[in-house]
Amino acid sequence: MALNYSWLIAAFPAAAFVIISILTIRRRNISAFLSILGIFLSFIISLGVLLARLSNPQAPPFEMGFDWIVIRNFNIQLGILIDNLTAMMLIVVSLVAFLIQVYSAGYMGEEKDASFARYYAYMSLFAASMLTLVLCNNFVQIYITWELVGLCSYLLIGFWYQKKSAADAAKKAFIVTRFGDLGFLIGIIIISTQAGTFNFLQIGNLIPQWAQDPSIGIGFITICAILIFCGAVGKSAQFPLHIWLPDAMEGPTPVSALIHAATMVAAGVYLVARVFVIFHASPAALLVVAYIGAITALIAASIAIVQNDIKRVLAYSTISQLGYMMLALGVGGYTAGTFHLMTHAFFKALLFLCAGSAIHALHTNDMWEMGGLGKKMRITGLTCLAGCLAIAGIPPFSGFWSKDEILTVVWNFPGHGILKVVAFAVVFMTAFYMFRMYYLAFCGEFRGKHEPHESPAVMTIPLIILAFFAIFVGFVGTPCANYFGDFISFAPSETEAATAGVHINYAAMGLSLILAIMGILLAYTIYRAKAISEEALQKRYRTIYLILEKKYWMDEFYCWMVRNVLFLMGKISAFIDRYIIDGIVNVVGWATKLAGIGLRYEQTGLVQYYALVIVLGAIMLMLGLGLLDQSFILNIMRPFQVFLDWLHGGI
Amino acid sequence: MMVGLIHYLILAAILFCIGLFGVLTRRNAIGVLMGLELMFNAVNINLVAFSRYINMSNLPGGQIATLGQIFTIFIITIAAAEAVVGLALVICIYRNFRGINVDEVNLMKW
Repeated sequence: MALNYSWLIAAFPAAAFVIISILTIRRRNISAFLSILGIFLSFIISLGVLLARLSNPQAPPFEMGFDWIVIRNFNIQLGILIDNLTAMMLIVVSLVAFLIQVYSAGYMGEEKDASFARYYAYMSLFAASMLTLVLCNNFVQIYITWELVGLCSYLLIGFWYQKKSAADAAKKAFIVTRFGDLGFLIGIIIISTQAGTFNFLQIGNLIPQWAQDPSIGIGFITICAILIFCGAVGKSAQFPLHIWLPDAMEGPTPVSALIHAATMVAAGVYLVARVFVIFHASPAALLVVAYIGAITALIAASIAIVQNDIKRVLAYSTISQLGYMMLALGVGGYTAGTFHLMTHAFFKALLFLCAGSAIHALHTNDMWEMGGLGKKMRITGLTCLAGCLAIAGIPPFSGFWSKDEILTVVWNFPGHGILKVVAFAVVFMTAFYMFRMYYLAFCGEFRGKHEPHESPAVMTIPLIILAFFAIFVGFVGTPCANYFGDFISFAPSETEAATAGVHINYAAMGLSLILAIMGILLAYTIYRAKAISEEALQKRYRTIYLILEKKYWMDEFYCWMVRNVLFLMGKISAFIDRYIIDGIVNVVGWATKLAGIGLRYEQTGLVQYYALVIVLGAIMLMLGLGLLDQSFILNIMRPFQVFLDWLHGGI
Repeated sequence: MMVGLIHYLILAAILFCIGLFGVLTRRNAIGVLMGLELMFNAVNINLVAFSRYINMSNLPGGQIATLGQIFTIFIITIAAAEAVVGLALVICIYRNFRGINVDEVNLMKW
């Protein structure tokens, strides 16, 4: 029953956005209240949807929609598709969004009224777009909402638009994701042209036929899958389009938590999961996904180790964990990837909000100016510890279960040893940099200037709720009783059978645990016990430190590419346009002018000359007629013939 | 030698060419008009010759045997009227250019 009203999930925040933008933009309290109310109602209905699906998990996906644009046999619908994955995502998105909006009331409290209301308007718009994205049933709708969430990301990153770095970061985010969206759009067009429809379920049904069909075959499916994956690469900040996410930390911290940790960047993973039928039919595409995920995870984790800004550490951590999710999906671990998506949303949002709490108290992002916050800000410190333990993968926290499932799927995947090495290396690095952050910010002596105080309840209560989920939500997916796996799984999946249910891979579990503890111990040694100093390590491993600090020079590479390749192409095109194309048009005009200058000398002003021209014209006309009709010339020539005959003594 | 139609046509052609030459070449405006009259008369000879030598009883309008000659009378009349107009123009030119040298009347030159 709730399923029929599921469109309200997106409608409430959308209505909140409209009302705030038009009516209450100057009233801070009403705007905040409307926005939070909207997302809360969405959460309630999402609960209803989840309960409906839980009561009957094996039921076919619920679909409802209407035709929006119909041109002969070309049909764009607007519709809702609810299966178990959707139900889970709805809860995650609406709950996290709700908690973050409540938190924002405290964090953004110092903004002016109109700014405050604008923030909540954008938050509502984002919530509406993200929830619609989760509910979509066809490619066109998902593309529209994809761009809408990108827009909201732009608006919210550049919220303090007077600050140049924030405005630049917003542009960078939008433009870089646009590159991915280009591939996505081409993929959508190709696949829907071949299928004749945009609908996910219908395309999913066609894929097995295409795999058999020799004229279409797996090659075509691979291309479609890779193109669609381009969109995910952009939105989920995978290598090489990850450069926007660290800069996006210019936005307010709740924005970073919501959009760039928990929900929007998860949209890419969600997309791959949603159209997993397409990827599953093409092992090559899955390998691409896995490798890109692995590369991303490794690069981002390595860069996170040397960051000094607390939000940047978390940003690179997000990129790395998203890479992990892509790696999981790429080796066929549909359940593992989506499970990690859920747990990551909770603990990453928690971590960002803790960081926000610290930043709000100290007005600085630099971890070297923090320290000892665990004593002064107890709740923040404890919840942050919970989040760090979760992400490091220590049992019984949620991150352990989801990470373990990913590692098991990767371990069991045939061949490709490099992926397994990367997966485990990232476990070590994740634990290390997360606890580096924790020890620097929350332990030891306070290195800053003015004394921090604990944040108000409106900020700490969401922290506590998120910590609760970060600790306990993992229990729905333990290997002994994998409720999550039973609920959300991809039916024709051989690799799933290896991990679902009974088979527990103790080796992977043990190895990940050992690596995580080693990472934590190393961080303790350097940052808590101060047995080794970071400066000494930096000096000793200067080159590695330089590469990591410069982020593998990727931003510089992109700048170089834009300046030398893109602008060069632009200059060439400008040259062609200005001198060749415009030149052709100018030549026409110039030739006309030249012809005019030449021809005017024909006007002599002498009447006899004109009369001569008439006579010559008449002669040419007669010759022309003669060409058409031979007898005409003969008739004209006859007098001359007779004359000549008479001369020779005729007639 | 039997004088046939062709001889009259040759004569008319020669007269026409002489007249045309005069129109195109004379410097004196009245000389041009004289050449023009010559061209008219050449055409008249043509018409009269056709009226004499060609039997038009089968053709439309052929009931009148002397059609060419009637046309010729018309042309003579009209030529006279046109000569009046031409001479009036020559007088205008004389008043403005102090001479009737057609080479000097080139105000429409580029």
